[in-house]
Amino acid sequence: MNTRIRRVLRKVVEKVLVDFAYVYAEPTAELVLWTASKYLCASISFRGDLSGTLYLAATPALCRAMAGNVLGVSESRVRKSGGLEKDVLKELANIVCGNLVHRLGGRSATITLAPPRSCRLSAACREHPERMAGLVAFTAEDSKLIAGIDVKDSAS
Amino acid sequence: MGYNCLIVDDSKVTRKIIAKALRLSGISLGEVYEAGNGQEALKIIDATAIHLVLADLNMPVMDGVAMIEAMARKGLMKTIPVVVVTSDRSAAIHHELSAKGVRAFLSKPFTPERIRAIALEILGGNPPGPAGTQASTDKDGERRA
Repeated sequence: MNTRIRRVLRKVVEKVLVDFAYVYAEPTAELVLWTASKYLCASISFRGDLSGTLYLAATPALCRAMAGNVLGVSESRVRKSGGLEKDVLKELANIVCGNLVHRLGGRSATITLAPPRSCRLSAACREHPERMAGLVAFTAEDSKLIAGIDVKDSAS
Repeated sequence: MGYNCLIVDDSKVTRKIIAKALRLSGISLGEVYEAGNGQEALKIIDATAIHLVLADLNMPVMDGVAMIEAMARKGLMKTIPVVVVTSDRSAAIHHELSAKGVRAFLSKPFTPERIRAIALEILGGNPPGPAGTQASTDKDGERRA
């Protein structure tokens, strides 16, 4: 795992969670990846001077809380919405990725982001976290969030 | 009367977030219209008096760059300010779009205060009069105030 990528990933996720979702997240060493199959997951690919995929996974409860904060609606309304929490997680992944790749590659880097999508946490995340370029777990609102990044062509 | 704003983004959640931030920004707001892509946005612009466009770049059917180019061909970039709302901080994209007439960039995550600052810088402090504020519907057939 790349120490610099992991450090930058942690900082960006912390900041975006506060600024976008009004959630304070504490990094934790506990990855609890064995429960990750129950998490909601969003991924976004990027390519150019830096290429790879960013994954964000969080418990459904945390996703509902973030969606409620972001949209200013109650969690019960989010629960009845049929997917708002997934859309908010995708948008969160989009924002994290946009901020992250240009910190890693520099503002002059040409990097194109694909649309974010809902997905399953990749096998690389679940089974071989040590092979990811960066992987960070957080505790927020008594729930867990995992951010992982696979980099194909690291500029770092 | 206030400024009629058009939000162009394929994500309904993102449109709601921007609309909420617009309402919280404290600018004099008229109608807030929503479009899911550039093509829908151009139809709304043709039918409605829009004072400010807030647009994403990556969208299906017609992306933000194609929409901006279409607006430029019609001479609309000089009369309707376009703000690109994006998490893409690439300097090359910003330069390219500025050359096409984009007035400002709103980087995600953003605050209502940031929207207010950009809107006031672009639009000034005097809200438009009632002329030209004819009704229209957005992508979902809704109008939001």
